[in-house]
Amino acid sequence: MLSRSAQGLYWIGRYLKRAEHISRLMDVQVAALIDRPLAHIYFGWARLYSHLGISSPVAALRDWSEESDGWGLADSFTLADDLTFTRTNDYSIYSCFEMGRENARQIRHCVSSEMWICLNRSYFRVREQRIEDIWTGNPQQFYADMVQDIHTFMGVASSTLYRDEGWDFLQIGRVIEHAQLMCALLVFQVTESENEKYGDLEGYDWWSLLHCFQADEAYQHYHGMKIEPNKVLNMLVNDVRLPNSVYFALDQICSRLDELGDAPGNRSGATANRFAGRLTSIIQYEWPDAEDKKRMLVLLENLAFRLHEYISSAWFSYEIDDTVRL
Amino acid sequence: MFESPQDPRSHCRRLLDELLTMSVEEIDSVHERVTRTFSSQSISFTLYGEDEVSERIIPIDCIPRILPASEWDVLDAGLKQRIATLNHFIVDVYSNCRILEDGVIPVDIVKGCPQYRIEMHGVQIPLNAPVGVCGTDLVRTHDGFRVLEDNLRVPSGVSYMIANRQATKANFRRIYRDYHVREVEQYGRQLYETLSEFNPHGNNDPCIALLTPGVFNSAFYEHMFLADEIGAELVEGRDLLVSDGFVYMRTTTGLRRVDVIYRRIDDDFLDPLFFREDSILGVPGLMHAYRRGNVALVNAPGTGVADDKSIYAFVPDMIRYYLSEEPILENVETYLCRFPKDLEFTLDNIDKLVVKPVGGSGGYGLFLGSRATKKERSEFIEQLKADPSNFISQPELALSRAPCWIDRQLEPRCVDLRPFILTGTNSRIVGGAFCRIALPKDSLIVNSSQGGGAKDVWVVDF
Repeated sequence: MLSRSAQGLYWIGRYLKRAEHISRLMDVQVAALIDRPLAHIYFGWARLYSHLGISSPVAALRDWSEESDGWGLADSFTLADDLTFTRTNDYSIYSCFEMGRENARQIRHCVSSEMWICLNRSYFRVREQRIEDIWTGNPQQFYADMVQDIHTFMGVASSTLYRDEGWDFLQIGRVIEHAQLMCALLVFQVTESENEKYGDLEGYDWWSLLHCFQADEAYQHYHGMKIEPNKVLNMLVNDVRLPNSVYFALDQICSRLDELGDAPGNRSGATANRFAGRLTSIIQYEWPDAEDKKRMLVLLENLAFRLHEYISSAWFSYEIDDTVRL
Repeated sequence: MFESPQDPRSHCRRLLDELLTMSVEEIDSVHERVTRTFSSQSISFTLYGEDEVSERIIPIDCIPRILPASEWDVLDAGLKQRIATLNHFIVDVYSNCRILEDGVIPVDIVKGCPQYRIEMHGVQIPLNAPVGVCGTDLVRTHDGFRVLEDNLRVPSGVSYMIANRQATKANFRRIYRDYHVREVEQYGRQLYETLSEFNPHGNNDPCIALLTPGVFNSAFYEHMFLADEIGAELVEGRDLLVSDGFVYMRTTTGLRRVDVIYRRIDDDFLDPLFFREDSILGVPGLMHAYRRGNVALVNAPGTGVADDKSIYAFVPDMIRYYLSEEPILENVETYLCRFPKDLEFTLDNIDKLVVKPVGGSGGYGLFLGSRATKKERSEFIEQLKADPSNFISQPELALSRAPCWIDRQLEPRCVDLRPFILTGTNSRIVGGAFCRIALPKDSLIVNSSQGGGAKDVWVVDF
């Protein structure tokens, strides 16, 4: 497969995962606007913007206090618009769909017709709406639909895409994006949960995370109703049975890299493979006993970024000189 | 469709009867389904406006245009005759220049043509077929079909022909079956076979790549579509490199040698070492590999010399010269403004003529005398006088019209016809064509880049 096509599939996976991730968090956030205290709402917006590493269009950083609205209800409309429909925000759901579709358009012959039609429909659905259209109705449903659309796309891909390396790169893109975003999110979560800036969040911060990543039911089943941050954290990081855990994502990357075998730039291909193995072993063997979880999460986040670079230099932009001619 | 207002052509009667049994809602629903097929698959053409670039879904009309096989077979023979001649001409002007020495065409028209590529002189062109893929524009006037122009560089539209067919066939199932329509779907296989014939290495499974300028090109949808149809890699210049005189593409398993490139990039941008040095779309060293016979380029660089509008006027003479035959298909009467007599005629009759720049395409720069205001006319005359050799003129033709479904009723619109001719060791034409529609009422401009639409063409064994 053409390196650029493989790269296109990889980025389709990444952008759609990013759209799904933001949609999930937005779903929880707009639900919070209905009945949560202002502190929770402020926390939710801060969590969204901080872990994505972008600044909000509303006043750069306002200090939260009980008396002020902070990033509260008044700004929520603007913030939701920014993260959902704003064309100039690379992290808005619209932009993620647009870039995912643009990648698919450039490598249209590498995705199945069914995948293209599915992605195209979702893209036009987001493109043709405005925040005003969803805000007065049921914004939660909109975000749930976005997640549903992405699941449908992946399901269609699973049923129709030929299982060559294109499939592997689509999957790798999806899970590497998930691993990076989850680590960044958990770094923020751990940092802010040590901080009393928002007062007592009554476990909302952790519960909402479980809910976002479909882990709430499993958590209740295995750990009961009481939210214990350490247990939540362990579940989201190294639960081998949770499809949205960081470990689960990294394990999938290892499997996909094994499937791919040697890259044209042999050294970097093997390095990427070893690197992914190192990440999973850190979670498997070091995480459980680590005292400083935050430090460990920062390490994982950095390593996940480097893994992207290794994959890129192994398969997409390798040096020509030492490459095999077929 | 009609000989006269009350008198449908015999081969169209069955379609007309079918339409008459359908209610407005039924036809409208067919039209909507056909349109939806195009939009859900984003079958598009990119339009470049002054300020913005927009991806536009090709407007498709659901009512097919029907041509009887007897008429089509004449076109088929005429087009094959024409492409054989044009290939002779191109090979000739880049080798012995026999036709120029014999004075059939003035030397300065050929060698002064912006599309004449001196770099191609002396190059051994594979199969003596510089034009592997040609799209010829035909118009029907009161006295039959005439050739309006030959597109010998990177003709587009064939994907819309196939997409039109798929959409129309699915929505007129019964009548399609009744009509015994000739198929167009084998175009992909024929294109693959043609391209394979150019393989310089003789291996059974040639590596074919379709070279596109990229996603911003007007016809990018078509490039994707065709790459898919022929199982070729869709490559951009950045995917290719030249090493040891061979062309390779960068794949996930290493560098793979490319045998045949179906290029959809203009000559100017193919190789920055040979042509425009600021091109970032091409491949440095590609022409070296081509000249050494290590890779085939279809179409060959320099074919534009034969579709220049000044040279078009000489095609009937070329047919007589190379094939010793009379042209089966006639040209539209053409005046070369470089000749004082033709210029004088053009200036005297500018209100009845269409004036075109010789190197233009896509309907850009076209001047319609009858539609221009007095001021526009006088401005254009100045432009024409300043550089007459850059223009040709033709009479404004009464183009044939076909019924189209517009605003919930059948409306006549001007149409043209672009069949595609493939030439390797021999020529092949599928029984169908890309039919373009001038959508605004009374418009004569059918080009997709000017907002034209499309409809399916059924060649029927009637």
